[in-house]
This record gives sequence, C-alpha cells and structure tokens, in this order.
Amino acid sequence: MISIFKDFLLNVFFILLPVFLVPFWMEREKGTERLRLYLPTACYAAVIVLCMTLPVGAGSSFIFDLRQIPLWLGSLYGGAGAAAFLSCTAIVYRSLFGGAGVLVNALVSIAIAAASSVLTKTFVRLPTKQRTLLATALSFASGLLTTILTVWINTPDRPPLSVSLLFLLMQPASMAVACLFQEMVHHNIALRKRIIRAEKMEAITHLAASISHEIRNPLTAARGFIQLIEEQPLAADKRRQYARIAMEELDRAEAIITDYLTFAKPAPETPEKLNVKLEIERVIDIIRPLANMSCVDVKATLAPFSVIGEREKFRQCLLNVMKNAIEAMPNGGILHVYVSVEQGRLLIRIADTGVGMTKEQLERLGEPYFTTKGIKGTGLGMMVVYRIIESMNGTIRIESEIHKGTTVSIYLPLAPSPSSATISDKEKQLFAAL
Amino acid sequence: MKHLSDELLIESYFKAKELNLSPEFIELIEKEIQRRSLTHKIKLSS
Repeated sequence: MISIFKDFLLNVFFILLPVFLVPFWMEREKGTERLRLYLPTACYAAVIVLCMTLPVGAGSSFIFDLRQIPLWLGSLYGGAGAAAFLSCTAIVYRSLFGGAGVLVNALVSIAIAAASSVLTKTFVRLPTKQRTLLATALSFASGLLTTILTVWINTPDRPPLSVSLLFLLMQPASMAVACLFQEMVHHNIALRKRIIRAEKMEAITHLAASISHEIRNPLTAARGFIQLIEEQPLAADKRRQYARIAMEELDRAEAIITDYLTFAKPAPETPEKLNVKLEIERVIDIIRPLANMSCVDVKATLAPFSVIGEREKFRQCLLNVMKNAIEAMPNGGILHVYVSVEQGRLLIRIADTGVGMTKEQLERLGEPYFTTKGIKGTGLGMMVVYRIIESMNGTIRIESEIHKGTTVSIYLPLAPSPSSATISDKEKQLFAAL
Repeated sequence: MKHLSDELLIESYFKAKELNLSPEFIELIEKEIQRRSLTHKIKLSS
C-alpha cells in the first residue's frame, strides 16, 4: 500500500514538473523562437514517458499512471499539432511494454488528441476556474473511457475493479492539483511583471518631478534677468552680466534635459550593433568643452569592438560617467577612456585623477537622489547609468580612492565581428553616392 | 548667478521688486543673497 502511494506521489511530481519549469523558462525569454514554441510540448512528452517508466502500478498487460494528465494539458494548451505529437509519443512508448493495455491506450490517446484539437481554442480562452473544471472533467472522462475499455476487453489478467475505480478518482484529483499549481505559478509571474513595471513607472515619475523642478529654476532666473535688461536703459557692463547669467541658466536647463531625459524617452529605441570606438569618440566630442573648461586632459585607448544596444541610451550612459569624472577634477587632471576585451566580455574603463570617493559614498553610488556634488547634483546620473548597463546585460564595477581618483569599469557582452566597422564605412560611401 | 558682483546682485534684487517681477525670481535672488551672507544689506535698506 505504502509503495503504491510512493509511486503515485512520484507520478504527481512528474506531472507538476512542466507546470513549474515551463512558465519560468518561457519568462526568461532566452533561446530562439522555434525553441520556445516546441519546448512546452517536448516537456510534456518527456513527462508522459517518465510516468510510464515509473508508473503507479503495473501488471503484465496494464500499466497505471498519470500519463493522461500531461497528455491532456499539453494538447489543450498546445493545439492540434502538439496533440498529435503527444498522443503518438504515448502510443509508441506504451507499445514497447506490450499487453492488451496497448490497445486501450491507443484508443484513449487518439480520443484525447481529437477532443483536445477541437476544444483547444475554447479552453485557452476560458477563465481560470472554468479551465480547471473543464480539465478535471475531461481527465475524468478519459479515465472513465479507459476503465470501460479495460473492463470490456476482459482479458484474464486485467486489474481488479477496485483498482480501476480508485484510479478513476485519483486521475481527476491529480489534474485539479496540477491546474491549481499552474494557476499559482502564472499568478506569481504576472505579479512579478507588474512589480517591475510599477518600479519603472515610479522611477520615471520621480525623475519627471525632479526634472521639472530642476528646469523651472534656471528658466525663472533667465526670464527674470532678461526682464531686468528689458525694462530699463542699462549700463553696457550690467547688461552684459545679466545676459551672461541668462545664457548660463538656459544652458543649465538644456544640460538637465541632455543628462536625464533619455531615460524617460517616450519612444523606445531599437537595439542595434554599436561600434564602441565610434560611440565613445562621439561622446568625447560632446564633453570636450566641459573638459577644456576644467583643464582636464582626455586620453583614449580605443578599439572597434561591437556591442548590441540602444544607441542614445549607450551614449547617455557614457556621457554621465565621463561627466562625473570631469566634475571630480575641477582643477584639472587626466580622464582616460580605455577599451579592451577581458574574458570574452567587452571592457570599457573610464578613469579619472579626481577627488575620489569614501567607502560610504561609493556604497551609495547609484542610489536615487544621492550626489556628491552638493546643490549642483540631481543624484540621478549614476542611477540612469546602472539601469542602462543592466538593460544591456552588462555589469559595472567602481573603484575609488579619496583624493586619488575613481575608475569605472563597464563590462558588456560582445556582439559578433568587429569587422562591421569597415562594412558600415562602405555602406556610408554607397549611400553617399546615391 | 555666482558671477554677479555683490552690488549688482543687491541692485537686481531691488530692481526686481520695483518692477514687480515674478516672486519665484525674487526668491531666487534672495537665496543667492543669503548664500553670500548679504541678507543684512537688503533688510536694512527696506
């Protein structure tokens, strides 16, 4: 009795495997389209085989196991194609064991496949409770059919009626359990997706609030000083000073937009293959005026490796890091950008000889609204950097020593073939000629 | 606003009040005045 219970539990474990494994695998979004299409069906087929290999009970011509449950679930969710494949698997594998049960199994499997093909569209659209009820009812029906056929065939070694009846009850019960767990798993996954979305929304809201406040101040100042110029005849010197301030404040407003609004861009970008050398050079061009103002010497050791990413976000990320580096060297220094490959990953290293950070500051880096720049900082630059690197499947490591400088190391997965650099040059020439 | 001389800053403050410019702008100037510890200069004269 105990050993039957043990084997029954083992079968229950088998049928629950796809319930847990398949959704989490599908959620990771790895692998080709093809793989993701066929994986659930392959999983169900494997479970059918497992159930028959280690069944609940077996006589010489009959095998009792829960194979009909993965057969139903795989066919109802997978459609006619999956139904055909799964029933073939069940029929072929069962026939290896021989006995009168082969015929029963074949008939029932075909019936299940046929019924699933018809019901699949309706099934998938049903709400959870009704789906569970339908699946349970169907598994009871196929169990009933199996029992009737077994009794009807009436071979001398067929199992006692009590066993068949017990099985008639256990099968729908197991199906109900499987459906219940399935629902729990889906609910959990949906919840996690919602949390991620909510976090993103919250970050954008914070960003938006902070930015609108940040921009309002420089615009108010610019407007005020322009009004001061406008309202009265003014000494040329004063007029010039006011004008200069107005310009500075407008520049600051623009800088804020440049720095941070990429993150909250309404139109999403498409990932493309980026030439790291070109992108870094472009960003260096942008920050060069800032570097010159602080007497910072910019050195670059670059190589044309490729990564996959969204162009503007990638530039934004590099810009924020380099800007931080320059702002850490108000009295001059060296900014070194260095590109290489380390252990199969692309390494972008941005090092400065600036004020550096204490261990406490380093720990809080990337925390929203945390800044070492006093009133000037919004505390959002590094947060944006972390998000972008994360979205590119990269990692970032920061080392810093106070008064010595900071080194930011960005590791990113390489995209294939750096020779794409030459191809795009040729493409450019072709397009220019058109 | 850091580049404004102290006198021009104070002068801007009074002019802004005189011309009735936006209160937010006046507040910005006040903040800069406070930052430079010149608050006494505007209190005394008004």
